[in-house]
Amino acid sequence: MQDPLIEIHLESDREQFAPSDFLSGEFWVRLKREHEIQALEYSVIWITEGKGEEDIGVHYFQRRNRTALVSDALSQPQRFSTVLPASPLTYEGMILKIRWCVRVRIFLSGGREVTKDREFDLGHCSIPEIDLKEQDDLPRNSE
Amino acid sequence: MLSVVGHCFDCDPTLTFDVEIVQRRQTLQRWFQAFLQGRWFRGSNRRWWAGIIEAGFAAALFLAGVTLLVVNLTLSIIDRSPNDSTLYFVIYVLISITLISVGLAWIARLLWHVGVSAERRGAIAAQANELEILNELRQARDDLPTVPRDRRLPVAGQVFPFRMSPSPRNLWGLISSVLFSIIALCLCTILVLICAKSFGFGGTWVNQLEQLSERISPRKLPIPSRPWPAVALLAALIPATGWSIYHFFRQLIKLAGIGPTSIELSNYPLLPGQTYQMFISQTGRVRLQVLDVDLICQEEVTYNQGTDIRTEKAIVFEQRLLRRRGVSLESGKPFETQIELQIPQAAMHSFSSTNNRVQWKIVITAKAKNWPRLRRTFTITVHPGADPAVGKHEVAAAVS
Amino acid sequence: MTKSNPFSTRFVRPGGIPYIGLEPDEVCELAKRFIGCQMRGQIVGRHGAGKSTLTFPLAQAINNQLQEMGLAQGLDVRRIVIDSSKSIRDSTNWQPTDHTFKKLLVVDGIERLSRWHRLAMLSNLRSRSIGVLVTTHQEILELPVLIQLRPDVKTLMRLVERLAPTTIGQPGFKSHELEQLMESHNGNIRECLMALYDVYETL
Repeated sequence: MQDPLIEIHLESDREQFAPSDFLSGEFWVRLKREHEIQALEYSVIWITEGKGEEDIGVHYFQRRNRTALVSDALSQPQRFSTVLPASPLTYEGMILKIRWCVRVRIFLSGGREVTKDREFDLGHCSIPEIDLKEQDDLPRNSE
Repeated sequence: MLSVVGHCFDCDPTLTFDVEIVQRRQTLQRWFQAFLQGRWFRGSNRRWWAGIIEAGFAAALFLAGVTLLVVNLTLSIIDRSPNDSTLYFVIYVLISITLISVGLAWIARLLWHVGVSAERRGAIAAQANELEILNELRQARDDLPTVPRDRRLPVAGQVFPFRMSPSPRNLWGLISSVLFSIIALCLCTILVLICAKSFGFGGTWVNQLEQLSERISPRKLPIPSRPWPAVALLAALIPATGWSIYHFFRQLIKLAGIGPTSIELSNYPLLPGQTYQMFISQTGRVRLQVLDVDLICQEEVTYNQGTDIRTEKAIVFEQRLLRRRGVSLESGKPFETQIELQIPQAAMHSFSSTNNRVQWKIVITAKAKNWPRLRRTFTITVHPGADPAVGKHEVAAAVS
Repeated sequence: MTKSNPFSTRFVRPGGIPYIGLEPDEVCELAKRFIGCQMRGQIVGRHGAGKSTLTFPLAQAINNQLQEMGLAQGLDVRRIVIDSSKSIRDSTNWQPTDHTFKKLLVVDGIERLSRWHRLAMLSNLRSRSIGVLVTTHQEILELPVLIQLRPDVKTLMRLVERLAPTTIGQPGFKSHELEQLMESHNGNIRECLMALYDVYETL
């Protein structure tokens, strides 16, 4: 059985956001006849990646159960919007990375799940260059 | 002074006595003040030996008191004859307690004395405007998810508005090593006495102790003729006791020689791309060969390796803020300096989640000849660049 | 946009990574054997051999087999890792559920429990008709051995090919380097993947 298709678009195809920016967009779920949807979740989350165990922080979350889904509701694009928080910022570190994304997850009958992520940056931090200076008796010191 | 005594003796014999008392009091007072201020061991080239001797002497007094007490108590239990007086027993116990008390007091004085400068500043920190700054900081953290709160909030400083909480001195390390030493020493002493007695070693001193204890002991505990388990235990315990005493001396010397470190910042929390002024103060009474101040950013992650949980750390940024050679620390005259601190422009802010962390630290390391290496760490909070709370803190700092 | 490292823990953790050492048919056979042993069995292997990883496709295969055989409508799986705290009470305290579902407890690192503790737990699970699949470094006597895992460098190579196909042949990912890596980590695949994380960061 083929998985349903999920498409996520951010407004103006924007990928860079600053803290407190307004994030909005829409997603489509293209179902086949044989797909029986049980629930739908969409969220704005940050995920850690790297050598450590994965941590997830949920900034925005919506869930619709089967009863809340009108029969043809998913034929139309579903809109979402939220004001982004001040932290954590997107980070590309050495053994730790932090990523932001919009995640749509649909639950099908039989316990199957299909997930789609759309990444974006909230700010962007990286590793500064290592600068190990040998400074003896700096002139600006005032004892 | 002699002429005064002679004159007084001529006119009123009782006065001489009084004057002598006064003189003794003055001498005692001077002696006590010198003791409290640590003047006995002043002199730049003798400070290291002074520290060692003073700490060693204090620790030795304390441990000697403990040993004497244990010997006395053990012998009084092992061999006691009911008819003798308890005078010797009481005398020995009193001597032991005196030695322990003097040793402990001396250790306490050493620790207090080295840190006097920082404590004085700590007292200044208790000012009314402190609460206002702290409330601002608390509020700021609520707006920033995943940015960790400071375990101990900064207080108002003397030179700059924000004095970071001093890295805790390892007093618990000292206390635990003292306790371990006492327990090990007690066990060792008891076992030595048991073994010496059962094997007939010790000659006169054991016999004397036995005779002494016989006068005061009401009951006897049976000791097997050849207590091999005790011998085996003693053999294992002697190195452990030696190590624990060495560790105790080391801890004490470290704490006695190098006092608290304090840093103050011109603004807090810090922001990427901003430059700050930092004031550093290091108390103590040793000559440091080298003193380094580094700014460090560290990633720390935990992960499961099968059924184990492991932690890995990676330093992703390290900048030397200061290196100073030949720093002389004296009692009441700490090393003090001001330097600049800049957080790199695109740097990551402090971050903490269940398994992952980004930490910024100011690390002060120092090395003195024949002295354990000093390493003091101050965890600082770096906020994300666009921090709406910054303005508030600057106002609070200006007000203070 | 942040560049993902395919050797990140989130991609290589058990459940997030496919088990490479066995073909799907072999996993199916293993599932049949497990059901044949009255839903009891152990997977034996050293550190980082892929024991925990194998439990995921195996549990799925057991579920499929039970449904195919008409023995149950599904499988209710719970997992516990025996760490130093050894707290297993909460995980085994199943509430009464639909009896058409079979219950399976996956226990990671059972050798950490004492023999008496193990016996008590296994007898408790048996009395409640709960299946038990355990992983262990050393074989234990109480359960039948389903498989002994002995990963080799080929397993690592296939895994790297699957996780990061573009890296094969690049510095740090050449076959002789992977062999050396496997040797230096005593055949611990998990530690090899952790080391490859660092290598990937330098590419």
